[in-house]
Parts: sequence; C-alpha cells; structure tokens
Amino acid sequence: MKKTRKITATLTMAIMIAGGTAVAKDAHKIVIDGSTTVGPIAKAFAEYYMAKHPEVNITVSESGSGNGAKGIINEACDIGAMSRPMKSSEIEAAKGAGVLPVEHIVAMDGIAVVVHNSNPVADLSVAQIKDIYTGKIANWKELGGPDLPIVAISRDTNSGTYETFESLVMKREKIAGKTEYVGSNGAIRQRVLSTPGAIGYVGLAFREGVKPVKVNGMEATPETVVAKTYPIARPLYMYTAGRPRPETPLSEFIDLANTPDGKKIIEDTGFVPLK
Amino acid sequence: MRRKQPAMSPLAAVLAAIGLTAAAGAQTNELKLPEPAAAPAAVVAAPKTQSWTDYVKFKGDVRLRLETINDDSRKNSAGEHYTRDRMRIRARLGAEAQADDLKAGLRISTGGADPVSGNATLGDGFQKKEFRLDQAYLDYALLKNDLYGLNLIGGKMSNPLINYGNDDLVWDSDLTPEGLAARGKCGNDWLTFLANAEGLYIKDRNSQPNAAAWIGQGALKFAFMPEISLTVGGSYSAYQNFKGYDVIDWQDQNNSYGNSAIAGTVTDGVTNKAWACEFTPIMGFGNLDMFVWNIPVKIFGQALTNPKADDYKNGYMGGIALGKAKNPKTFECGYSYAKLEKDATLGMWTDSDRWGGGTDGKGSRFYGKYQINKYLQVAATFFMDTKRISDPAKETDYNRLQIDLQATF
Repeated sequence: MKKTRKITATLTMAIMIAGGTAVAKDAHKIVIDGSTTVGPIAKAFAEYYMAKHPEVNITVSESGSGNGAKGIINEACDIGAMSRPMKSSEIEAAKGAGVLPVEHIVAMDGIAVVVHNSNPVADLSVAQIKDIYTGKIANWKELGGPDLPIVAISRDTNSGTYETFESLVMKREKIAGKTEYVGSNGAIRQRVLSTPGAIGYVGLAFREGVKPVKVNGMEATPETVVAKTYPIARPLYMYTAGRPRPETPLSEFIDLANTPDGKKIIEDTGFVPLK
Repeated sequence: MRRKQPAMSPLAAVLAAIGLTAAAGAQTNELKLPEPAAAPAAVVAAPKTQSWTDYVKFKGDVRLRLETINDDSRKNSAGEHYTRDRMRIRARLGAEAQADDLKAGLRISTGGADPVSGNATLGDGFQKKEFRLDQAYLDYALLKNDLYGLNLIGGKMSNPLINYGNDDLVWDSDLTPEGLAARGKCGNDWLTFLANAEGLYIKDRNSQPNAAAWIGQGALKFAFMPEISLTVGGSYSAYQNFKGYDVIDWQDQNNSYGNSAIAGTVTDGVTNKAWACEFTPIMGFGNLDMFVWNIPVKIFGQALTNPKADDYKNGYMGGIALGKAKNPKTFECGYSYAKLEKDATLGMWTDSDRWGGGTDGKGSRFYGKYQINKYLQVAATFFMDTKRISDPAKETDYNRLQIDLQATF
C-alpha cells in the first residue's frame, strides 16, 4: 500500500513538474492576424523588419479585430492587431485559457466619414451621422444636399472600426437594417467611390479618391486626432499573449512603433504616430 | 519609405490603364462615374439566409478513465485491503439554440441517475450503456453588456454559482441543479460585483413538505493590474425540510453520504436513515489569479460552517494551480487539500472522487494535465485521503489514481 502511494505520488509529481515547463515557441516566426485598419501598419512593419532580419519570417493576415482577439485567446497568432481595445469578455476568455493579453498602442487613427466626390455636403454632426445610420435621415436633401437617397455603408460587425463607430457615433443604438455591410476599409472606399449617394466610414489611411466630411466642424487630420478635437479618434493596438521577452524579434517588432523609423512608417501609411 | 496606396476600384484601374485618368496611385477625386452605379458584387455582403445551423450549436465530450482505488475501509473476499481497478467512460452530448437574448439547451450524459457522476463502468458483458437527460434549460439575458449582465435561468442547468470546477468543496462539477436561478454582474475594468441566486427544487414529496433550497452568493473581483486579480466572496444556503426526513439516495441504499443520520421511516421492515440536522451552510471564498513569467498561477481557498449542526460542522479547502491546459501543447498542474466534517454541508452533492464522495473526510489532491491538441487532453489525478474522520478509531486511508484521456468537440 505504501509502495503504491509512493509510486503514484511520484508519478503525479513528475507530471506537475513537467507542467511548469513552458513549450518554447519559434522565436524566428511571427504570425499577425486581425484588424484591416492596422493591417497596413503591420505589413509595412513586417516588410521593414524582415529586410533588416532576413532570418525572421513574418506573416500578416487581415480578418478583423474580433479574429485578432480570438487569435490571442487561442494562441493561434503572436500579435493580434486590433482597432479597438479588447473587451472585458475577451480578456476573461484569454485568462481562462491561461493567456495574459498585453496591450500595446502603436498609433492613433481617426475614423473619417466619407461621401462621394460629387456630393456637396461637407460637414455633418455626430448626431446627423447617427440619424443616417439609424435610418431617420434617408435623403441627402434633408442635409442640404441633392435629392438623392442615402446609401449607408458600414463595416461588418467583426470589425474594430465598426465597434468604435458603434460606440462613439451610434452610442450603442442599432444600425438600420438597410445599411450595407462590407468586409474591409478598402471595400467601403470602393463602394463610396462608385456610388454618388453613399456614405461610409474608414480609417484615415483609406480616404483617397473619396471625400471626407468634417465632423462637428472638425476635419480629420493627424493634428486633430492627436489633440482629440476630432470626435471619432481612437488608438490602434497590437496585442501579445503575455509580455514579450526583451531582445526577441517579437519584442523588437512591437517596439518599432516607438522608434523614429517606425513613426515614419506609421506616417507613410496614413496614420498618426505616438508622440 | 514609399507611401502605400489603397487599392483602386476595378473601373478606376481600367481608366487609369488606358490613360483617361492620372496614373495609378494618383488622387482620383476628379473621377466622374456614371450613375446610378451598381455595387461591385464582390464588395457588398450578400443578405444572409437564416438556417437552423446559424443558431444551434452542438458540443460534447468523451472521456476514457483508468482508475485504481485503494479503500482501507473495505476488505476483499480474502479479508485483505480492498483494491479496485476499472475502466470507465463518460460521454456527453449537448445542443444549445440561441434566438436573440434567449438560449435553450439540452444535454444527455452517461452515468445513469447518479447526480454527481457521468461515468459508466466498463466490464458488464458489453451491455449497452444508458444515456439520461443531464441538462434542459432556458437562459434569458435580461441585461447584456461587456461590463454588466443579468441572466435568468430555469430548468436543469449547469451550476450557476461561482465554483472551482473539479476542486470545489461543496459542489461536484458533474452536478446539474434543478430550479430557477439568476446570474448578475456589473462593474468596470478594475472592480466587478458578481451576484448569483437560485431556488432549487430538491425533493418533491407527496404527503410531506418538499425539500428545497434558497442560495445567495456575492463576490467582488478586483483587477489590480493585468497580471493580478483577486476575487473574494461568500454564500448563504438555506436548505429546507431535511432534519428528520429520509435521506435522498439515488441508489436506494439508505446512504447519507457522510451526514449524521437518525432513524427515519420504516419501509418493508427496514428503518430508513434520516438527516440528523438541517443545513444552512455559510461559505467564504477567495481566489487570487496571477501571471508569473506569463504562466498563470491560481491560489484559492474556501471555508464553510453549518450553524444548524451541533458538531462536525466545518470544512475548508486550499490549493494552488499552475499553468492552464486549454490551448494546444499547454500544461496545468495543481495541488489542493480539503477537510469536510460530517455535517458541514449536504454530502450527496460533494465531489464524488475525494475520499469516495460525501462528507467526513480529508486529504490531498494532486493533478497534472496536458492539452495534446485543440480537442484532446490527457490528465492524471491522485487522491490521498482519509475517511471517517469524525471517529479517530475508524479513520481509514483512501487513495485513488485516475488517468484520463478526454476528447472535447
């Protein structure tokens, strides 16, 4: 009996000791998934970092902020790119899976409200934008524009841009059922570009070819975003599973946002670097 | 660095290519398009057709268990120590349908009528195993937000109280209580208040008052920093109509599961056991969650007392867990020590593995788990316990080793 006890206790203790041993990950491979807004920064960072460190392989996927969070929770990626902060439910889910989600703010962004170039409307209040997306305002003539039905375009609900817009503009009120949902900032831009009655919202880097309108009289510029005078401004995030070990490729990659080269890259991709 | 340009629309790209606009990459503000322009098919999400698969989810698990039990309170046919080696299976299959804020769920499980075990022992001439209804519930989210919520639940449900899974002093993790419950939470990023309440229908008695329970639980969760959070709370359970009533034993073997018993009714010349006291256990608990070098560490403790009992009315447990076997190739291990006196709480729902289940025991639990892949986990658990601690002359050792292989889908 005592012998059995010793054997079983030893066996269990051995498993326990093994339990303390973390499985080492491949330090020369970085997998990034998440926000399509943060995607251009992640891709430009990856291009820059791999040019300097050819031994490191970095892959970037853009499947939305929600999937960035899932990737961190499931440890399916090393960096979850997100255009919104993790929700408390996602943080709980990560901790429940034994993962500490660590937030890194890499840049600032404003959500530009864009219309077709031919649309004379140049300034909207947050309340008017909300009324457009709830369906209360359905024609541009109600806003001093042409007699043209409004075609509201939104990001899909898995998007961090959608969640930020829902929080800062919609104030948690539901977007109207007639709104069209698309899967990326680029898709919104394309839809607005080709539809005279369209209105959409995109990250600052996706304004080319379409007309950004002022919001509450403020233009979305790097200065107004940093000063937070533009009403729909937000940080952009990269999340890691735990704090990256210093002097590893993952740590260096995340720290790029604080280097002069990294800030230049952020500016070049159309976003606002951290001060 | 060259400025990256967003992709042009297909039409704009064609116009640029034939020289009708500026070269690719230039501003396209001057581009005039015929109207009304149709949406590019690839851009606009097609209206989603609702299918039943959109709101019904299936989940389940199958566990194989090899088990060795050394129970010194029993003797084998040769009058020597009792040892039992066996292989058991547990299979569960559940479905949950969600429509807006209402969820409806069903689950069936092996394990017969046992309220605290879904195991079926192999080795009975290959007989077919029984599946029984393990859960059937409605769950309505009255309030739902990232920071607060209130759910009303009714039926046969998973335990709505904060519990410690396989390491709970009062509740076996396989128990599915029956009745009505409310689960609430509110707070902010650093402080959350959790409150749960339930009314349980325990025994429907035809000619006598029903056995029931009202349970309230409250807790505060402090998240000091991302790496550390502390949950402290307490609960009060008011069980009604137990003292003097026949014990409830799913096996009909007159087993009080460790609780003190007196003489109850007489059936066919056999005197049934009846509970000797009422139960109103008051429990306090604490749970410190940390990440140390990115490894999760949990330190937890529970203590309870039953003021309705004259003696043997206390219990406590403390333990530690390192790691978390959840994602592929992750480990977890832990240790806990528990002591539960005879009448600290109802014995019929406590962990069925520690000292063989019930109350009136003490001892240690060691365990280790390894998550092989997303669906498969291997685990080993060793219990080193003492039974019948209320009478030092009758104390006996009870050891149990379990090796599990579990697939979850």
